[in-house]
Amino acid sequence: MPFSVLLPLVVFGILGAVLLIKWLRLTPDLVLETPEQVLDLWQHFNPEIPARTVHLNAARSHALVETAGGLGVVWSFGADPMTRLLGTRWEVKETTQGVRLITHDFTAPAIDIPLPHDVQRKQWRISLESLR
Amino acid sequence: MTANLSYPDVVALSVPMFVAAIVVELVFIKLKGHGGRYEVRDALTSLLLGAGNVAVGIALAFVVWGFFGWLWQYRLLDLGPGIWVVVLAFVLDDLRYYWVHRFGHRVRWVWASHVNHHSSQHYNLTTALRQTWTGHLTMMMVLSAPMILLGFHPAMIIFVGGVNLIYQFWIHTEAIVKMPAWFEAVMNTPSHHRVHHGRNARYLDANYAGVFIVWDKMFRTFVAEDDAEKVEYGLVDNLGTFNPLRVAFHEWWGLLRDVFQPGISLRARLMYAFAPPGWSHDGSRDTTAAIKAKHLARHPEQAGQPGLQVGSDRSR
Repeated sequence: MPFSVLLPLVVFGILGAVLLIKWLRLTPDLVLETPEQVLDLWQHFNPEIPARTVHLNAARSHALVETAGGLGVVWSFGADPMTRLLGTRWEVKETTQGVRLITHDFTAPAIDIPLPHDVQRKQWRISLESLR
Repeated sequence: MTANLSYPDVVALSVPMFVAAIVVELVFIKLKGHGGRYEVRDALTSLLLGAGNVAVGIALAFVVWGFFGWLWQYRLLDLGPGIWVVVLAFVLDDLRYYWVHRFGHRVRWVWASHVNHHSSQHYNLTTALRQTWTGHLTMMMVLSAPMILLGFHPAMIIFVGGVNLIYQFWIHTEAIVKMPAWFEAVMNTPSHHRVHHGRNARYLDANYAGVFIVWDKMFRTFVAEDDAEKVEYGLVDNLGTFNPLRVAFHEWWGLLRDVFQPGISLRARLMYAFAPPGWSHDGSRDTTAAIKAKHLARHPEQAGQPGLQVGSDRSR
């Protein structure tokens, strides 16, 4: 197949498929409904690391998890859950939308936690530091 | 006699079919309300990895052709272009695929290339296109050498390899539950390949087949899909990024960091590169064998079930 045919086919094929998936809205983003659900998710993906407490954000997209091994995070990764044990190796920065956890993990380098209000951001920073 | 043998680039010719089949699967899921899940960023990542794979394949075609052409000089026979030779080449190449794929899960050097195909938590036709960008680095093309030396023309080897890849496209779907029993017994199917993409302890390191599932039955790596345990797709440690560059290179990055860390022996460095994924010099990580053993410790009632035989040493 000539390159002049293959290239537009690939480009427009990808664009068309993505637009169709977006339009059909087949799988909604995961919502972390309750702290109990977060605990279940944590235990499912980290059965050897017991969780103690959960701190869920108002958007129900991210949760901090206090574990025996330090700070854990559960978050909505598109339609699926994602978890990471950060332990003590992380930094936190405030952003205009919330806080950003810098993880030093190539496969999840930064976790952006939406927190729309200043008060929430301050509370979360305090919670985060208490889990270090 | 076969010096000028050539075949069409079947993978490139199949691109319109790939796109059309994805549209059909999407419409099927929308109309039926089941049969798979699609997430925009996940699908986009898969498609970009697929496009990158095609681009790398075109850019580095000279490596494969150069190596195969060099081998061809030393062939023992010239089996010619006959249709039965092509059929035999297809079957033998599928056996070759089985072993490349098994190494792809058992040897970290090869897993570093193959892992991105397993990095989606979804299982749909776009997942089939989530292909490696670094396959040439693994040097697994050497496993084609016996066939070329035996007298199968390099163009034929590349052609049947393309047909093999195209066959595997349609099995990446949840829309098809089971095929007829006779077909499930012989061929790789959506059900068998769903197991292969599972991160559940019982499904790790099973069903390496490309086209014929009989290889897994022959080499004792077959595990049937269990209706009682839904397949959970993805990696033991899933990726928290949709960035295609990070997806494509994350395991290479991890491998290099492990190999070049200070204070470990030469043997440990080699093991980090070539031992099964999950090996570590201090036992801080889990291989598939350890994952299965820990799962059985939590669920002893499952001991002996398919994929959970005590002492199983298959990797992820």
